Amino acid sequence: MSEEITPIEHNESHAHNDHAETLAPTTKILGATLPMPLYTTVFVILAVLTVTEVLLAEIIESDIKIPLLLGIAVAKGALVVMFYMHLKTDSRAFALAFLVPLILAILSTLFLLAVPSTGGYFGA
Amino acid sequence: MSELTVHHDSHAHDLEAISRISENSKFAMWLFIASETIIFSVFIAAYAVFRFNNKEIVHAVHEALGFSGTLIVTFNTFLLLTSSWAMVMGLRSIQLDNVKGGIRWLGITALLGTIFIGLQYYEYTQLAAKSITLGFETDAYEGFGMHFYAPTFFHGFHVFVGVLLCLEVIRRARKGHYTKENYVMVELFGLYWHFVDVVWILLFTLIYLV
Repeated sequence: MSEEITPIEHNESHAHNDHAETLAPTTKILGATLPMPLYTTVFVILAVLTVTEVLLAEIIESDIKIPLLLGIAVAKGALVVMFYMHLKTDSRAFALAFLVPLILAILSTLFLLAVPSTGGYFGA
Repeated sequence: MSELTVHHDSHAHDLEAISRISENSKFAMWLFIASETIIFSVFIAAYAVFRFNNKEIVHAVHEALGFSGTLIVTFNTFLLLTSSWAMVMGLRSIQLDNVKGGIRWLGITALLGTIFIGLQYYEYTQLAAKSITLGFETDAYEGFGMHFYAPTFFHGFHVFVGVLLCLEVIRRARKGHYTKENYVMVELFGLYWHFVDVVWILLFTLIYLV
């Protein structure tokens, strides 16, 4: 009888392990335990990064702010994709389906920014 | 004992089926998101090329909007970030067998999405008053309007569709369609909503801050 029950126990245990990190009431980060769920921790980080972005945009005048702000935006996007969209723990096939067109799109955009026909960097 | 075994076998089979459907549906949603990524990339690339070649025009627009203009959009950005958080908290509630709590969180998601659309409309009226328009001849900023409205309106349309989908998910949740073991549709809607959030994170930085 125990052998017949095993598949159910396996499924429930598997599902529980998949969501253990997100269902926990606390978040372990850099060795510390925060008294809030992972989703809330990510939200707080996103909020802090957004405020930082707006302040940097107002303070910095030179073009150095462009890669800086874009870097923060990419980090924020990555946080949402990894934790809210669960790409960190879900199947790698999902990541592949998303990242391949994303990388192609980024390369195409960089190409457009570089070629002379669009007034790009090498045409300046 | 045999009845118990049949019950457990049937339950295990159901869970397996749900798991299989969930994985296939999520993969389909990721493929849809991949296609949306390409579409939004075209808008973003067009704006990036415009920005690269017309720094003075973009600076003039930012000057015209002022810090108060940035504040409105920053507030809107917070609304969307908070709605994404509410969305995952709703999913978490359902996974913890608290469907009523999940419905409340999803309600917040729909409400924040609706306010976002309302504020975007308000922003558009403010921009139109400053002669930032779609037409090349009427636009005081030589084409900025078209490069601005196309991605932001397309994104706003996605938020509008997202709010409608959210209301449908809430309706189904109220009818008892979701349990702690079966929440595939909630997760699929979440993927869509978070993608819309990610797009806004990039648009916000690229258009309003850079």
